[in-house]
Amino acid sequence: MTFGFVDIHPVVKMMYFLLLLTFIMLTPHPVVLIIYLITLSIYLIRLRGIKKYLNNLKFYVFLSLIITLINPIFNQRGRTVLFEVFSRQFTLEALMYGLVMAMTFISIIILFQIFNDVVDSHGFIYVIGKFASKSGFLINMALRYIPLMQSRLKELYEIKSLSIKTKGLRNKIILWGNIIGIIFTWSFEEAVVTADSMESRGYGLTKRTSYLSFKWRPKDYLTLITIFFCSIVIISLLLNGFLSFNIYPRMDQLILDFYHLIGYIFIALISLTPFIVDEKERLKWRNL
Amino acid sequence: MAQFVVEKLTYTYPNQKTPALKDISFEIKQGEFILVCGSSGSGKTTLLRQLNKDLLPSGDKVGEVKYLDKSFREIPKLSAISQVGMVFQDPESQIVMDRVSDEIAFSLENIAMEPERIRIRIAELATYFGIDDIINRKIATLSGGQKQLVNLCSVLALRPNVLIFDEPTSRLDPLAAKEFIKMIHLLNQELGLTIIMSEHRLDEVISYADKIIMLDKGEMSFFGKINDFTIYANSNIIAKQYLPKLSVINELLDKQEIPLNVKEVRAMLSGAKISKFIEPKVDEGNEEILLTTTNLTFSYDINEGYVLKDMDLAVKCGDFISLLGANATGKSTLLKTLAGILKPQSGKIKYKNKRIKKKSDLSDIAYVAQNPILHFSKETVREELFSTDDKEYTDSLIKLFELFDVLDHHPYDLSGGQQQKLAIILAMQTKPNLLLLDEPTKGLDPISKESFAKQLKVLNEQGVTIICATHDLDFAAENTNKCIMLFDTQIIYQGNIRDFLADNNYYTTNINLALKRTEPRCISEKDVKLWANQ
Repeated sequence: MTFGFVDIHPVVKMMYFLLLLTFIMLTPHPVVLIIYLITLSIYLIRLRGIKKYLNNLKFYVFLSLIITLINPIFNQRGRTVLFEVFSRQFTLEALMYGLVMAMTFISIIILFQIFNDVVDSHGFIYVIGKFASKSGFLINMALRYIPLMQSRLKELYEIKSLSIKTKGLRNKIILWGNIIGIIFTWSFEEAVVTADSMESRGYGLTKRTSYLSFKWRPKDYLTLITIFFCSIVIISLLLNGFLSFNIYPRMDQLILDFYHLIGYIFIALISLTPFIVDEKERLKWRNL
Repeated sequence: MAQFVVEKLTYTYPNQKTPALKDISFEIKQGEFILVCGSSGSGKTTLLRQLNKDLLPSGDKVGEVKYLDKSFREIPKLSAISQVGMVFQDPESQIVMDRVSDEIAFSLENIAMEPERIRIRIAELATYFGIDDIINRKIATLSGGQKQLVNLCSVLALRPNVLIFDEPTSRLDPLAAKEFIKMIHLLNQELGLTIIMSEHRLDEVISYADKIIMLDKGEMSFFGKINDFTIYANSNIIAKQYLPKLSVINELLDKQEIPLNVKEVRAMLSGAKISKFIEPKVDEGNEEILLTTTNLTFSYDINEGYVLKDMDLAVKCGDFISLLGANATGKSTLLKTLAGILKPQSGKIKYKNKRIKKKSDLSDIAYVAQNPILHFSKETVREELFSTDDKEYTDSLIKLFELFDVLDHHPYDLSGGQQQKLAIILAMQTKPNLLLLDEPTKGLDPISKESFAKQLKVLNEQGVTIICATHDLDFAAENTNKCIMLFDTQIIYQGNIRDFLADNNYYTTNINLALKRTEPRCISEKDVKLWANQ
């Protein structure tokens, strides 16, 4: 059953993801990024459960650790030298920069994982189709081919691995070259039938319409207003120079004044919107 | 008034000398159910395409096709697509979208219908055809029969008056095919739609159809009512192949009339005096065991349960075994585990008294997948076949399977039967002792099926043991000597096929069903012919 944020109007959902993606990339600020990490994680854990959450993120955390460590090795900018090896300086600033990059990276990964669970293909195509109907149609067609090609690749691999050796790089290249070749010929052959089938059902006669439609309900407007209000606050703070954090040449001090506090609160609020929508609805069901 | 009038139609494909259709004339009235039959390459698809304005191929055309007294050229495209709808052979490749509802909406979106009306039509079709429970599913997760039904709905969404089907059931298993044909019958009966359908398996459709068109090398050799066709078939060997299998029973009684279903046979046989059927002796022959499995267990995903569970199987040298069972009972899975493609979770497979451990132990077992296309990777049949050293052996196989004429064709341009044969030759190149086939007769016309069966028999007599998964009971009864029946992860029966079918009351060949009360041990066309000569 769909409920809560999953059930929200696709335009609102897409707006949320678009705005959050922009904000995460615009604010390389350690505290802000920590807030994003925590709040987005809360929602993803609620969606997938802690075990799956950790499992899915394992690889990315490992990757981001490497990012954090690699930056100070190759980057010698910054004034605060931590230590020196073979006359290479390791600076606090470079380490911090790596950390901020890593946090940005993980936040975006978590955001996309939520996107994956929350936005279904119909909603996505509906929104894309509003701006570019041809692209929406193309994406919808392409969506069919992902599982189809996957299962065919598997089938072909099973059969070809009977007659072609699978061990060793050379054999692997021959095997996969063979498989990809067959997939291409097969797909082109089929495309002729698909084209006939589209033609005989009137494709290209007139400008296409889309039958998809989603109703606007009070909860959609409410969510949209919340997201917009938070965004306005955050954007005006950003425009006035708050929530910025310079790393090079010398790292800024973290400030906690009234404006920053407001900023942190609204960032937490916008990023927690899906969670709040969900919990509000859960509460309603429990009280029934 | 006639709906379709085809007048002296001759059509030649571009860059071809011989016409694909020669001097064809017929009329179709509103609401008729027309069957088009003929062997592969006789021009069935070409003729059907001439009846659909959007699919008219370029090429030389003489004569005329008229729809409701108008030439095709005068009908605007938009009204043409909503008059004549077409469902193609392959359920997969005619699908455009990702989900069922999108696919049904596809044609309506194309003609720019308002979203509200589209949603009403989707609801209407889904309710009428009982597919409302799968309306939001991804099409990739559906069975072949369901996919074909979605294709039908998508065409029907435009509310056509004429439906054209190009071998719609040839890729479906018999049960799904039966369901689909019943649905078409319903559309013909309840909604009065004109149906024009080409088909290989006439057993199911012949009692629903009004008229039949038979094509032979591009010429129309017969056009007329079904009753007249049965009379015509009495004197024409090719036409006879298209009659239901059980029609052969009239040979027992030396009667001219031809029965078309079980009921008619039983009526014919009641009171008739016939001699007793002496069944052919079974040559027990070789007792040497080729392959055994003990406690073979396999599951794709443990949460979904077992596909095969503790299965014990014994195959003797020289057996020709048909592997029977409903859809998804694990026929393909069993073949794949025997071929070494899938690794069983537990259990032993012993081949020639040696336990199979490595891949090299399997070089003596050949496997041909359900879709022969999976085995092809070259530009021509010749390149495909002559990559091995043993040319003489390959030559002998080509001779056996009669593929000499098509050596320079692209494998994709072969007919279904020829593709199947090519895949078998490829599999046989390692000179295996055991050949595993997955549904080799799917979609073959009766004539190529018969030659194919004969060729398999030759291989079998040369000492190749064959296990063949099939839904086609007639093929199994006619050609195989043993059968294995799978049900609920287990082998329910393993042994002589005659004993099995003779004892069954529902799951058996139509010939056997018709003769059940007279002679239950007579199971195939071959038996009836033998009996008639006794």
